[in-house]
Amino acid sequence: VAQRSQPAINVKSFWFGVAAPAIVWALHLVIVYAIQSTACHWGFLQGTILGIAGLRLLLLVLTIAAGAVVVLGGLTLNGIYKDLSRRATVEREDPSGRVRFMARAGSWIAGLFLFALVMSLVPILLLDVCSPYWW
Amino acid sequence: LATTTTPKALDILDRVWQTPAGIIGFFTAVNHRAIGARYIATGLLFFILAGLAALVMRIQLAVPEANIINPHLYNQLFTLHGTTMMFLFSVPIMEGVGIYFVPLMIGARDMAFPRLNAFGYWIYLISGLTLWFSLLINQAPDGGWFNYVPLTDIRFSPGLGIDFWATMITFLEVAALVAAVELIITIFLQRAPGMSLNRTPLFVWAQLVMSFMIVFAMPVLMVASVELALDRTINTHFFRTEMGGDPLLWQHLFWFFGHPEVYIILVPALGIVASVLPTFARRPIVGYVPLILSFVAIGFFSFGLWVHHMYASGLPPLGLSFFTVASFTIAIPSGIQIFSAIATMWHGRVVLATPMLFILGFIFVFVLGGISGVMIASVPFDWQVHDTYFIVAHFHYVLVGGMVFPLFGGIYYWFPKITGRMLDETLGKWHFWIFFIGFNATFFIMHLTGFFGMPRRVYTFLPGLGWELPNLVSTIGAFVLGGSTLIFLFNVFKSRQTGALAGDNPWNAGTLEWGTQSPPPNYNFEVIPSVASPYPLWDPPVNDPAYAADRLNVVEDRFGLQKTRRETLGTSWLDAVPVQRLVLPGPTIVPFLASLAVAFTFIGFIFHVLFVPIGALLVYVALVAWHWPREEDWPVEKEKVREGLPSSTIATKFGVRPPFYWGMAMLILIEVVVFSSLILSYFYLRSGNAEWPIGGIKPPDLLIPTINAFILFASSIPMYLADKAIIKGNQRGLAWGLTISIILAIVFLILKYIEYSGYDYNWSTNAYGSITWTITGFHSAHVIALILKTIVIAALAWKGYFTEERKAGISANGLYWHFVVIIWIPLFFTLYIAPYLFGSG
Repeated sequence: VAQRSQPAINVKSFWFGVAAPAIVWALHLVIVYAIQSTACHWGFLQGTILGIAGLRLLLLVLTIAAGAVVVLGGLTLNGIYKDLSRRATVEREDPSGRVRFMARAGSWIAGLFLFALVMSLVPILLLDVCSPYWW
Repeated sequence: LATTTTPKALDILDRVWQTPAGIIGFFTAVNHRAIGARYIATGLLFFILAGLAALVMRIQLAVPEANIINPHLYNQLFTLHGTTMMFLFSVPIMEGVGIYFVPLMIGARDMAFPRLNAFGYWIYLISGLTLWFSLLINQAPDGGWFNYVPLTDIRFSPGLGIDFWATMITFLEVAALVAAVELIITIFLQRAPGMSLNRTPLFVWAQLVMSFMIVFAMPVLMVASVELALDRTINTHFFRTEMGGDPLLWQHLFWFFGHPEVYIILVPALGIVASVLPTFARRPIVGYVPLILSFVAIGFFSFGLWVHHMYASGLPPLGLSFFTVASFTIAIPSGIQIFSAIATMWHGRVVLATPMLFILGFIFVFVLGGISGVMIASVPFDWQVHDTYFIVAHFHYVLVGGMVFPLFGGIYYWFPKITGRMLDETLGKWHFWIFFIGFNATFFIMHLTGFFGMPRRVYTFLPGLGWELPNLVSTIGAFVLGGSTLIFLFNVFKSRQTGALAGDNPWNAGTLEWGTQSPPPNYNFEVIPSVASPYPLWDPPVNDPAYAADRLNVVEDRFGLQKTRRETLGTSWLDAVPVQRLVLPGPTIVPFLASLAVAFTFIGFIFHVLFVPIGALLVYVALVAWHWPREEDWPVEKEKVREGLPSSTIATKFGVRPPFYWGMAMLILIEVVVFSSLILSYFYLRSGNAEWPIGGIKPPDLLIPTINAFILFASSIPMYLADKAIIKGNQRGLAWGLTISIILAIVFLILKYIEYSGYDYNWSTNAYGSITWTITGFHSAHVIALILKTIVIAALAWKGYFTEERKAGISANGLYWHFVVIIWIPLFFTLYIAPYLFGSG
């Protein structure tokens, strides 16, 4: 079996795209949950900024920032995938197959994480940030 | 697969890879197929035991106010039923299937750490038997499989039952983690040449994801169960509100493990589906990449759902909604699995053999379980049915549909490979239909039982509530279900003796395990295969140069694998390019003895804490015996096979890390999860107390701890220099470096002892004392273990065992040493800085 050389890509960008969306989503979930619980329990961030509750604003900023990183990761992988697809020759002998596979799967997973983050915005926007009641 | 090996060479291979027969072989076997088969058989044994417990419970619930068993026994039975199904059946059997088939699917001759593999199995067996033994002495746990505090606190659950649970679960998790690490390293480092990640079988992918989930989930449960055990045995207060503890901490820790546990069980079952379905649809699976995406996404999202088990615990709505989102989102990758299955069947030519029937059963039942899962992901709906039989129905649809149906399909599919004989198809179809009907009769009506308001875990009920008929139907269904299992067992025993001979590939399947004999020879493959697609056996052999016989012969020679000892091929983790020869150990009784020593420690702890240090000493002796080089290991292997690859003992010289280095890295990953759980416990307890430290305890002085921290950090320097010294072949430099590191670590421990002797509180003072003493004690135990381990390595170094060629053990030990030092930074911050930054003072 010949040593298969991989296509020239920006390795750092590639691994950023593979890893960042998942890590950012996980961190976001833990951090927003911890901040919201702690702030409401101890009464932090209860003021308003520009008419928006401080805690709500912080959660929004964190979620949008996390979403931005996920989008960046997904777009990076998508770019790599498209680039490699253009350069690809016959699939079975294509040394870029594994990289393209990871880029494709990674960009789709980033889409899922983005979906989860966007969905998280809905309760942040609609619900009272600290109320123990749903209504 | 084409073979070119001569009969004489085959004899040598066969002898080298043989497991001794009889009782000696039973205790010394390390081969992955022997261990995997034992996992599967033991898992089925526990499945039957748990099933029998369920039947007894169903008899009790058949009619109102029955008095077949008393409430205490009922509580013990449902706890053992749940615990066994989750911990002793589902996870181990899935790992067992992986241990058996992953090496065959990736073209390896054995797994990366055969002795560790055997060690894990013995631990699993001993812990399971011990847990069931507790029932015989009427001391079985009775707090349910999730053992909520404060019910399980010693004040409300006296006796040894919960101690058996907490201790045996911790013990058992060692086995689960061992198998997970084994699978991860094997999959990453031993795939056949050409089997890059995009050509890896889906079952192997599923096992990989499952293993990583275990690595991240199980240590959290270990921390939780240790905290529970400490609360009960040495009077710590992690979960006691009046002492600053918090019962919800248990729920967070437990469910952070508990929800991924569902997917730990489901994902490998989906891997089985992805193996069986293409074979019986007669075409490659539709959506190979989306399915891998789905496995990975499920793996991640499953860790974001744990709070949906705590909807009724009074947490704020916004916090709960984050977990509702994740709970809805995971339906997407789960749906991909189902649509892929449907599309594969749609485009294929489906053969309705028994394995395929079980896959169809999986689709039907799992979809129903998934739908009810989406329903209870919604908080308002969950509040209506929480802790009712609706939940019982839901999780049985998910777990039996998602795991047991595919597992039976997998058993019918792979039985011919394991035994060389086919299971009887007629009996198999009877088994399927009776199982399918019995399952739905038992559990579908439980949705209604739940809507009618019947709570879980009641040992009887009053007449006139409308629960009589659904309960009677469930009981009848349960016996139908049980009857189907008898058919299965009869089929297995009959076919094992008289079933039709299978041949190598009776189903005309496409993955590598079918490319060798049935049952496989001791060495799995005569020649390590090379692959060019996820279904290598479906590739045209003539037109693919990778399969030409002469090419294989060349490849085998190029790898330079020796046939006179156990060797398999090590490949690169992404593209499976050959990089090293891995030398594997043969049969030995040491793993069994080591597991006995560990068992002595854990089981002893149930009765008295003093058994722990005694047991630890025994474990140490066993581990030294395990790792001490044998006589034949002392000569350094200078010879490199001409044109071959370096063996693992000298691999680092060539810039390739051997598997045990990565095994150490995995251990560190597990430890990171453990320490993170402890740190999170600290901050969780802190967030629940207005005063911190609690009870007038002063924040710790910083001078001695700071000096001590620098001493610990300093110990890494000679360790680093020792590693550098042996790279240059400087054996004395190595020995001195190790020795100085040991001395510094001992100084650290002495100062730590002096510091803690001066405190006027201990672990039983309040929750602050509990968490600080536990974190410190746990880290100190690591330092002690590190010292003891390094003493052995230093002794070998002084005797000149390590050389420029043989230094990988030093690198691995150094890696762990630096980890124990570095982890002290966040721990130091938590224990010494946090009381000032986040304290009430």
